Amino acid sequence: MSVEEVHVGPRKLEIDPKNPKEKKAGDPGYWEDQKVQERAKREFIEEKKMIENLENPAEPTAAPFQIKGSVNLGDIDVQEASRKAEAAAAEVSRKAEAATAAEREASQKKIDELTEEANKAKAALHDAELQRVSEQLTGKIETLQRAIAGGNQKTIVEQLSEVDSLAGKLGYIKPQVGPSNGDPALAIELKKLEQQMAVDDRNFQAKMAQDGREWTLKLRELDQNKVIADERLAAERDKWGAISSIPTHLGTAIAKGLVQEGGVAGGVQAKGKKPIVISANKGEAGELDCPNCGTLVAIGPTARGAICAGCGQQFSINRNPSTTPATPPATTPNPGEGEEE
Amino acid sequence: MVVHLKRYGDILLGGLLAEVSPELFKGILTELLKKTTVAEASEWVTKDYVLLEKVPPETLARLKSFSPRFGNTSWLTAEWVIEALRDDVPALASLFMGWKKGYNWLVRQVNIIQREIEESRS
Repeated sequence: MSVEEVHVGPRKLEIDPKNPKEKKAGDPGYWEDQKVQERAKREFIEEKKMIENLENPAEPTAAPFQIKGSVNLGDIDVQEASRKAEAAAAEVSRKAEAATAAEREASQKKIDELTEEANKAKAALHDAELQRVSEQLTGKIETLQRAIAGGNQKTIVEQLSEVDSLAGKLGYIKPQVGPSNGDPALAIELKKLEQQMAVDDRNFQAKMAQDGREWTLKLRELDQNKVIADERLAAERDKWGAISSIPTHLGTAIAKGLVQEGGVAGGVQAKGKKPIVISANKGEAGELDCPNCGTLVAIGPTARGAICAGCGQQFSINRNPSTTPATPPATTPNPGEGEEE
Repeated sequence: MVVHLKRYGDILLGGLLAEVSPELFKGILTELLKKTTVAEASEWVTKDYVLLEKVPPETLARLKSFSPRFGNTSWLTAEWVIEALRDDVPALASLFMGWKKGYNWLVRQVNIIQREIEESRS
């Protein structure tokens, strides 16, 4: 079974039922048939002529005109030309290399100059940066010194407020920056800057306060160290003074001993003095000033007499038996005390 | 070397203490009795208080630690105490000088102190 091409339509063989010789001009396909006949006739004539030419070759016909003469292009020496070309190429290469070298040298020189210039610029920039840092530090140091010198140094915000106030008094109007009268982003940035400045100022104040506290603590510590050192020095001085005064004390003791042995003590001196009679109630104790030297003389509750420790003046006490004793008697009687009672 | 130095130091300290012990005692006694009134001293005598009990415990402990180095304490008598008090506390000195009961009490206290020193030495 044959397969039918479905994409190409079925071929139709159309057979013209009319004989071409019978066709007339104006009939369909008349001229097509005439053209085929004429072409076939021409091809037949040409084929026939070609066969005749093959059978009877004709002599070549002379050209109608002929140009005679010659042109000498000279001798061409390829090797010479090659050598010259190589020499030229070498010359060109040499010139190119020289030019390249010169250009390279010039470039290197230019690079060196630029490098030197860049180094100079870098050094200048470095110097300028150093100068700027130095000025900033100097400014900060001066600010700190001023802040330390004067505790009531105004802050940047306060100074800005004062400048604003002064400008307002002079008639300058501060441009309103804000969402209603400017760029909101700019206003936000300005607000951020102000907040940053306030934070910086607060940090600076805190740092200053901390430095002040540390300084005060340091001063206190130094004061305490000084006090401790002074106390140590005083203690050392006292110690060495006490040690150095030992011979003096010994001498004093010896002198006192000698005086005692010689019997020139104050109490002994006054032995010859007449006793002063004073009266007191029974059991009465007290003190009185010695009429001779003014030294305080104590009288015991049951004492019958008293002696001045300053001059040795003796006192005789007359006890009045009618009154009750002010001081109770001793709980345990001791030997030798009944004499006074 | 250090041992020698310590020994010499002990000897020197002991010698110095033995030399200055009367003055040391005088200073302690004066300091103890400086603020004592005649009435208080009379009460001590009449009630027969022990003087060493009136000494602050830390001072007493220090005294006991020093007492072995005091050397001969034969100078420590009631008369010496009265003489020591005479300059700085004359009223008390006069109390013990003129009041026999007070003098006897002072003798007893001195004896007690002497005994304490001897005990600490042994």
